[in-house]
Amino acid sequence: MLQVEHIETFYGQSQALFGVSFSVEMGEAVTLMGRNGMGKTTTLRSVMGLTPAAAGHIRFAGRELTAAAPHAIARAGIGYVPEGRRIFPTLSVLENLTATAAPGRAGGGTGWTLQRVFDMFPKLKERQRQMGALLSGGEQQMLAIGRALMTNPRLLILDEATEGLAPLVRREIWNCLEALKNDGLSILVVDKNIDALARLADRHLIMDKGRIVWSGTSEALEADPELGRRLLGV
Amino acid sequence: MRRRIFPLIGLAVFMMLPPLATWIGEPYLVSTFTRIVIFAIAAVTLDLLIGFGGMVSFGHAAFFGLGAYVSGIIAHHAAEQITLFGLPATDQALIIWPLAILVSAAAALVIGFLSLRTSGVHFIMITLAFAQMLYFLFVSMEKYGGDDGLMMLERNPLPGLDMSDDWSFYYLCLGLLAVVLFILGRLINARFGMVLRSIKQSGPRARSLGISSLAYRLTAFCIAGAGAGLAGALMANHNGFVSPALLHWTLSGDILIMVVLGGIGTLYGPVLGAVIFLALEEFLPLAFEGAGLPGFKEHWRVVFGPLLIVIVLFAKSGLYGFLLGKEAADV
Repeated sequence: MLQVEHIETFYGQSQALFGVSFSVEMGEAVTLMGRNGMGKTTTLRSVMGLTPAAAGHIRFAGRELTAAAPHAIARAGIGYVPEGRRIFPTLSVLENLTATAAPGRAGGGTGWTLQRVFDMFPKLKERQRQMGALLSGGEQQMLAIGRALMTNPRLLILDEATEGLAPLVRREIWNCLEALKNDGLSILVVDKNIDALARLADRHLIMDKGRIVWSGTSEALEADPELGRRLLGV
Repeated sequence: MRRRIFPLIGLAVFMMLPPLATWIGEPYLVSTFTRIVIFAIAAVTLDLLIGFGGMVSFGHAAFFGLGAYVSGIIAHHAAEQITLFGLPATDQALIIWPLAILVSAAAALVIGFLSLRTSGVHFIMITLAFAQMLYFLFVSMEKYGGDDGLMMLERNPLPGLDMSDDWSFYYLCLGLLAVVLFILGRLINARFGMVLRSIKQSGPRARSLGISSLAYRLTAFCIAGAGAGLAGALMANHNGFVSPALLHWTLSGDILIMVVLGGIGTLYGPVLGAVIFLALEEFLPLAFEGAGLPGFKEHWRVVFGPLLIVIVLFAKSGLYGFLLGKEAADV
């Protein structure tokens, strides 16, 4: 469904991505791993058009999105949950969810409603009148995911899905992502929690210095402990 | 609670002003109050841009002046019985005022489309530049009086209302201010307003969720331009006179000060700002005279300037925030 072919991305003069290629199929969960500064976030930002790639192609659901504007890419059906959550701080929880919602957009599976988001994250329902800035980190992450789901995406992209969250909250997020995957949503996720990622995802990509240097299944990942030490620094 | 009663008290005070002016034996004050109401319309529309859309426009007088000139020019043609673009001119308010709104909105569409490619300081400067271009355009239009401006013989007639009566005209302007506030209030709390506020907080964030930020900001820019155009048409009728001064950058600055003074990002704050600004402009010179310092009359800004600085420094949401305390925080 998402095809990324040989993208090269620069920050000013310095090159961050050197011909990154990968794909995410319908209903598949794929992870992007690697140490800090290896190009994971840049890859996601390039897909979203926030840091456009200078070379290469990005296709999504049969559409060429290489030079498209971020809002057009999002409208094509990609829900983006940025690193550090980035909710709208002075909008209430309810407003955060409804402001950018797109009920009519063709998503994966059944359409998302406020009720469905509240069923998935009951805490958000309790706090729907509060300002986004007053939520805890975990609640903000739930809000960011809920906000992305309200755009009815076919592919959900999460950058550092559980970074900086308490273990219990992390488990909640992983459970929710698993439920979403079982519901037929495609997921591309960046995180450092290998065990959780291995359970959730079908395929894994490891980046090093702006390139994808390894890809394989969960079994292959767990079978090779050397891999983690060398490329992930764990 | 205070937020609920503030507009009601405000409305009651505005309703009482003309009788009050007569009662204290200064009926000419109705004219001052009308000015306040008209500028309040311009200020609340500017706050839609600054306070809710994060667009600090320094050219709001362009749309104000355009609205005024549309009224002035059409009335001029009607009075001289010359056709305008091959059409017979009319002096009817019901035709001229909507036209003024349309022309200002159309100008806002063009100016906004070009200006919104920039942001921050560049946006401030480019809106200022467009406004000054229009200012010099009207200065150079000898046909319509150039620098000297254009007289209007009488106010545009409106069926069922005696427009030459100052009280009627005041209450008409007040009614229109209420309508503008009602529309803006609905807009700000609708999904449109949420999106606008989300773009103000972070454009990239909103874009990555599928929002075309240019479309929303341009729509807001046009709405604000239309409102300023209405205020301009009213001002032309109020003064019976239009001149390029209505498009000058100092007027953009005045409207901006009203917004800052009253409270950026609040619906009713700019109304309060217009009241305080124009009241000080009117009464500070009198106060100096009363205090035995007639030499200071021309220099009322000596007091006004520091006052503005104090308010900006100490009242977070302007005077509105000062009056309402914590309740002024959101919308």
